[in-house]
Amino acid sequence: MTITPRVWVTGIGVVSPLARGAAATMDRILAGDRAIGRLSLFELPGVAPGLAAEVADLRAAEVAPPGEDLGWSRTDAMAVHAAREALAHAGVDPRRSPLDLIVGGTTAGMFETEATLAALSRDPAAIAPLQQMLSHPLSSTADHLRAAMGPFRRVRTVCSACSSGANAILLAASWIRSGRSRCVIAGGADGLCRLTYAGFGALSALSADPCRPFDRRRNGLNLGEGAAFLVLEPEDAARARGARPLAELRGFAVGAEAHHITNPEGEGVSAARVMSEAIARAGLTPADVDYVNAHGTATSLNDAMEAAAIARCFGAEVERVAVSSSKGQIGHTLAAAGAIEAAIAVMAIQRGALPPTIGLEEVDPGCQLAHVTASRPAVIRAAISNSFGFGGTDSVLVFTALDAFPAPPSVKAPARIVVTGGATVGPLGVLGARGSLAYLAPGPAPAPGAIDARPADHLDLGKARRLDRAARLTTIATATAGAEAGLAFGDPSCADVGAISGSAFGSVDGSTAFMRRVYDKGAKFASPADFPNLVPSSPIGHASIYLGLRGPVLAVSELEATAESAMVTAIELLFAGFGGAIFAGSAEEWSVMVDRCLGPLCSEITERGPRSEGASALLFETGERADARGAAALARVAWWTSWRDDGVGALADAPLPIEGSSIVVVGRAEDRARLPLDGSPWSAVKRRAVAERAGDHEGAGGFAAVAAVAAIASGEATTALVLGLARDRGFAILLVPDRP
Amino acid sequence: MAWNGLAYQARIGARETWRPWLLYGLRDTSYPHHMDAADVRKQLKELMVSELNLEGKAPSDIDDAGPLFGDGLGLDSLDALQLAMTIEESFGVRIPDGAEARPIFASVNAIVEYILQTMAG
Repeated sequence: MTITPRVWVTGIGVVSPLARGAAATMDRILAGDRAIGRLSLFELPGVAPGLAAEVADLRAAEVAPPGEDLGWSRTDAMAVHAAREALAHAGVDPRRSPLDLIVGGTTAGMFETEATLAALSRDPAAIAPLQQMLSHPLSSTADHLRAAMGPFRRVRTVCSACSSGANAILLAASWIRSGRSRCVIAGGADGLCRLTYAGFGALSALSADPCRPFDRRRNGLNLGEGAAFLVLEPEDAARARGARPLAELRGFAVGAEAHHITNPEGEGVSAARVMSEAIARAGLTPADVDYVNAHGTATSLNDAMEAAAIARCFGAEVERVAVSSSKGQIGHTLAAAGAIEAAIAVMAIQRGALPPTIGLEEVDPGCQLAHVTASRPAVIRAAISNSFGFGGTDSVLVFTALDAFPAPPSVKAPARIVVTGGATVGPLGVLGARGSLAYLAPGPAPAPGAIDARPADHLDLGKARRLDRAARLTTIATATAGAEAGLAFGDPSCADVGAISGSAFGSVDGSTAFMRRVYDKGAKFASPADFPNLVPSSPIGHASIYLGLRGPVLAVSELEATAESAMVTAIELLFAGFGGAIFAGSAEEWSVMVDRCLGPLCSEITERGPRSEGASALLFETGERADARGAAALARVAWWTSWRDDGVGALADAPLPIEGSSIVVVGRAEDRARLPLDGSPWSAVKRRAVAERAGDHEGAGGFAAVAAVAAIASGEATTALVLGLARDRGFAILLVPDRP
Repeated sequence: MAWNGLAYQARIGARETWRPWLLYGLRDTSYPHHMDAADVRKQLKELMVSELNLEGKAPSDIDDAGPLFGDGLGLDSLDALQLAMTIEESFGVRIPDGAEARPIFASVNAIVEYILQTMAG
């Protein structure tokens, strides 16, 4: 199969600290305006208010249905405004044609919920499903976009810290290039909150002055907030409906540094590699690129690394290619940054104008580039947008003017995706995929509460000293799956191995302890070492650093279908030519707050077994890669899908079950599995749930998927349908034996 | 259970049954102003092991005069920030930012000397 080559950008929406609206934001960007002022949204205990780039006069109630604003966030409001603008700009209506949605985020409703978390920690007896906690899950922004604007056919929430927005757009491009989507709205949204403000403060990353990207005197960043969405369509679909294209999204790449949880690689080797890969994927060379919208945070380390990376990637062209950072004007908008700056890159091409780096006056001798310090007209044939996140996920997007270049090279999709390894870390111990068949066998229910994962037996604790509990569970599962697959971690052959994981609610206890400390002791005693672990992508980032994984590394979050979402996303990225092998799974920690508040609030399950916890991972690999290294496949992916509704009809095009030897595997035995199964031949197939043995937790579906692989590998079943379900969403993966 | 223990567990999950709800507590915030060099050194090393999660190391394993960063104890800039915060919290002594911190963080002896000087201050 040859991949559909061209992706058009047909709509843009932006809410930025400079303005509500893409065009209004770009006007002010080109005018050199700054939106950096005194922080007014909240006060932090014990410290004088510093600077921030706020979206003024914005409230959740602007977009929430009447009476529901308590459960909506400012992040939601920014996201809804930006997404509505993008759809209107493109002339697309989700109620009239199938539309997919991808949201990049890090904090979602943290601003609205962080005080409640800290308050509830004083009185555990008061923990209950409170409506104001509805905006806490990372996936709540996508849920609220759907509520405000939907329906959407397929929805995904991704996080890779400060490159989240860029990765949402990259995933959208992969859906379009592999023919799975005809129209996607993708971007990022992130509101300011005390947690990130105190955290970046603890890292000494905040400047007391308006920031100065690439300047000799730069001393840190200013935090900002905002949202941006791009509407992306394949060229043929856009042409067919008479859409007006703004630019082509032509190149994209994502890779991990596997270096450090907060600090970038000094020489920018990985960032340069990802930039080069994105340019090559676009069928271009550095000589074709006229503008780089840099990550340019104005921290000492980022800007030096990025300047080195740009020089390394562009070679002699570095003296010509114009570079600027928008962060001196809008601050660092974290998960939104990659999306807002992608929008700025597209508008720069469209308007024929180079945006400036405001705040840059004395170029650092270590950051010698063709800096743009005042906007000026220019023909921009190709522009790239750089985004680098905590944990080391570097993402680069390449936009080009329409018809500036001949069609990019087509990419050959892998003929098949196989599973070569798997693991569970749960009540039955640390097991490879084959051993995880035990979760389908009858046996006693687990003891409720936390499991004993014995990290000292599986990790070098000296090397793993920065890993919190979720990161340890994630790393043990990933390492065990890799060992079963015969992967040589750390070997150069692992350069194309990525990892996708996540959890339903993120680091709830860690965030609670961090905020409680800020409230009780003052923001200056916020822990710098704890803060990076609160980012949803931190556990998988830590795993990538520990194991040396340099492919696509990101987190997803879909309530109790997070593991299945990670697995489906890994399959989609591999089929679109990203990476050669990707680990996928989830890690869920036992937590009173999840058990009593977030779980019951966000899940419709009323009857529960003993609560437990655990992590899972499967290694998905292209058949070619597995064959080349002589790895035996445990199973092959025959079919997959995902949906964002009640699931009726979702299995309509699934291959038929084989009588007597097919199974349906789920995490928890739930009534809602009826909806996708009703009317499908799969409804008559024996259904197996793992929660009786794995315990009732949000990651049980990951255990189900690993057990399904085991059932195929052991010959216990010839086809296994993995069903992952959560409120208004579902994922399905059909596994079969690999017989090439 | 002191705050230290909680921070330690929150960060590294050393105890598999961590429960913030049960263990949460705060350290006494009055600073110990009558400590001698041996007391400060002992407490500092204990804090380094717990707050920087120096897995497998005991306070007595930390060399008084040896370098802490790079090839020495293997600490990095994130540890420096955590250590500075911890020293301020435990001893009431603020470590200056940036280049001024470098000589203070040269060794355990240098930190102890700075803490005592500042306390006597």
